[in-house]
Amino acid sequence: MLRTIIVAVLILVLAGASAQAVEYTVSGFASIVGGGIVAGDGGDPEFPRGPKVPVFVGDYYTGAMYEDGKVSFAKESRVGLQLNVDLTSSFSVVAQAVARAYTEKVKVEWLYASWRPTENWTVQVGRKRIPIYFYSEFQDVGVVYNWVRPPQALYGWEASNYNGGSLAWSEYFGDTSLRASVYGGQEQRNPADMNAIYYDVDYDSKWQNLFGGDLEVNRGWFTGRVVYLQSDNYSRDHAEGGDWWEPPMSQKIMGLAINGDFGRWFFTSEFNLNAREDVEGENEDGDLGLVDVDAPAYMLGAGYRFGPYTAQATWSRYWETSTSDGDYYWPERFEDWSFVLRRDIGANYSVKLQFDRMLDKSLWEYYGNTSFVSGALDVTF
Amino acid sequence: MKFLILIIALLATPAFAEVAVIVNPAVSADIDAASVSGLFLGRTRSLPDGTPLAPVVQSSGSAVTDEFCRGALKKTSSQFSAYWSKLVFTGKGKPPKEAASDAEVMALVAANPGMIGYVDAAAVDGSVRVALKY
Repeated sequence: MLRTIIVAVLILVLAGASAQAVEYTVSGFASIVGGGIVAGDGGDPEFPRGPKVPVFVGDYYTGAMYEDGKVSFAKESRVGLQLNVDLTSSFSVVAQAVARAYTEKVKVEWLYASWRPTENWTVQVGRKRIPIYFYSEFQDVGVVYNWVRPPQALYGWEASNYNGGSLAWSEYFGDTSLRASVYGGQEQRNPADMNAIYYDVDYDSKWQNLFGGDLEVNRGWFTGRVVYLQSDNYSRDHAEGGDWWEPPMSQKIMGLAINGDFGRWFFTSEFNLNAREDVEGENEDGDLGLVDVDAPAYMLGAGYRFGPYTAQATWSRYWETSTSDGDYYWPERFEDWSFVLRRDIGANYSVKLQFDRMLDKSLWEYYGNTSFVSGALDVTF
Repeated sequence: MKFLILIIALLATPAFAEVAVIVNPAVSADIDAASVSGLFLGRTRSLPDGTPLAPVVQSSGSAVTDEFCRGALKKTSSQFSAYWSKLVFTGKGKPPKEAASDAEVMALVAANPGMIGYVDAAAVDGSVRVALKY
């Protein structure tokens, strides 16, 4: 509905502005990503939807997984195209469509109107990426970061984008830049592709009453970011549809990222906590509010640049805890060590080769342990 | 022998051409390095005195862009390209205008008091004003 409104507004404004100098810019990004499990063990033999375990999750948001014995270039490869229409010097409309090999769909994932009345303030209304974690907003633009994919211990939830509005403020004092934003809205995925990793049947997910804010500071070598986000999360059997939503879980997300860039040497670190709690749920015995899940995730990486090459080693961990451990909830836990070598071919074109050692530490065997090799060719144009 | 190797190395080292940051002659304000950095990194859209200036860049693979990025922005071309990609694809910035050559940059700047660009210093002619050199 919101998208229809925005497209209608866009058409009307463009028609009205046809006599004026309207500027259009087209830009894009693309990644060809391939990978395969080179060694592994374990995994749940009754893994939902029957992939051959062990498996390596390439993208939690789309549910793309690599299964044992199969090399694939169709899990994470993607192309994005963005159209910026500047109606005036301070008002523009932006649309970004992404085609993903795994979902075999082209979707308009970002579509928003942007108003920048002053240098410091920007208001945006429409559909955009939820800026949860440090790399969330540019997660699809592979050339901007060194890994083949941002560590999946932190990146990837049922919802990635939202429909709503945001207000951002930025200011520069000499060598220091500050940027803060607040945003709100909602998102519904029918079904949410991430749920395919956990269930045999499709589940819809709805993040409602989404509200959050972030603050990013950059000065010289230092970049720091804090974020807070809350929402009420609902799920629904996709086949049922209608009003058959489960009672919601309240979600609170907090994150802190600190990065340092010293020219040749650099480090990256992030700590996030996703806390979910039954608001008014009932378990099978009729007891209320017994399921809560705290999902802290950590990432620590360091790297070195030499000529056109960059090497980076990263450790990440996802470690759920629940007061209902083993009763109504089985916490998911895993650790990943990755080593990536990146070569810049041109200013906006790079190739990467990455090795991941993923250790499944869930209380029940789920993904299994894998040694995984992947490569990416990333470009912007 | 070492002396000979040093001479050969010095002769073989490519001479980095000077890069000139240029504006329209109608723009008379002093422009410092911080302003150039702020404008080309999308942090500001005007000089401290309020004069609006929009940046024009050249191809991300060109030698003049390499030199400008290192000298003015303390970044490699790749880092500059990645910086703008982050802004453009996350809705935090509008991609800067791109010109294909020194001549095209100069033609744009000469015709538009609201633009600032960079060219090989040797290509500068009387149609533009040099604000800074790197």
